[in-house]
Amino acid sequence: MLATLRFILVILAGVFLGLTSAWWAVGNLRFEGARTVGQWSTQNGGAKSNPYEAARAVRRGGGLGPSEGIELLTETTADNKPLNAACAYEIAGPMPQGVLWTLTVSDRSGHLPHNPARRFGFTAFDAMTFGPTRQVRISIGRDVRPGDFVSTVGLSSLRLTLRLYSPTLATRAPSADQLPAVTLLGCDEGGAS
Amino acid sequence: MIDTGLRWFAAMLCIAGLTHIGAVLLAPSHSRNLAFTGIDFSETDGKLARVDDSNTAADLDPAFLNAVCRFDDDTGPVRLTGSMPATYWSIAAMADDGRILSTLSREDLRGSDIDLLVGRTAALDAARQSAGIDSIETMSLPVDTGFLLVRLFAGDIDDLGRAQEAVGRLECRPALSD
Repeated sequence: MLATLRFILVILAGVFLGLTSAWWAVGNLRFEGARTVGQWSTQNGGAKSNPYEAARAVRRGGGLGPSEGIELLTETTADNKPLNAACAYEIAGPMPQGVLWTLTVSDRSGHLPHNPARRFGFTAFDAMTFGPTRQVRISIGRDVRPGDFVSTVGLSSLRLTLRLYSPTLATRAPSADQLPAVTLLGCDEGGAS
Repeated sequence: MIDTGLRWFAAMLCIAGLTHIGAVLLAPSHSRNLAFTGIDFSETDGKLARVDDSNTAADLDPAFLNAVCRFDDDTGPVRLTGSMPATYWSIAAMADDGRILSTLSREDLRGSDIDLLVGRTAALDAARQSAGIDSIETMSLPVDTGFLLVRLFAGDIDDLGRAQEAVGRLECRPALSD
């Protein structure tokens, strides 16, 4: 009797652990085998040879195709610390010149912030740029900050998606020094891990 | 000799590993929660269905106006016609499992008018002959079913208005009914 109960428990625990770990791994950038450029991971919309990436693509769509451009994602800061929804960050640095780009703030599942103004990010046309190299300086967080700002209210995790709409960049990704870096500005008291 | 508890633990890890592998490998072919599953195509009547975070789980750029058209065994190859705005736009043919099979963007076309035939290679030839179409842009795909995703840049109110107008003018109909 005890052996049968233990057998059932082991099977149930194994199945639960397997499904939970699969759910966690699908959509986790570390498992998708994506190419990295600095802190950014590139997403390929075409062939899905990586099973984790293929499973993600079924639900989330395939990103951008080769003649559309390139999609870069990050869930970490420039010094490789995970982004925390309770913290404020600055995305600062250059963007590829002469290219339509959009930067979107979401959680890891792709949900957008609760935002009456529907401000989910910035684009090449509405972001303020500074200096001869036209660097951007965008802050994100729960408390409003001056300058280009995106509220992260309502998000439980953070993911930044930088989409560069250019077929040229799809075949030759920009280098890390052509892309902005994400740095920590501060965290809510008790909210940061 | 291995302790009984350790043996049960090892068995649980083996089951967990097999379940994990099976779940990940079977997800693309058995998932019911596809990126565009929630879209109602029944009343589009040749128009494209608008998609955003309210009716799809797909990761779409919120700075764009996105619209989709379904092609399957019932429709056969589809023909997308209309005119595109001067801002950036692109068209992607996607398989049901989310893979992007073919894309077309503003840089690939001269002018703003679009006349595009999309479907499996063999079916495209039949559609062209049946409809008497000689010169037309084509997207030749390895599948019979999927989605045509049209993305139009809508970064501000003016762009959004132009994108909405363009989507309103776009028609996506079975090519063989022409």
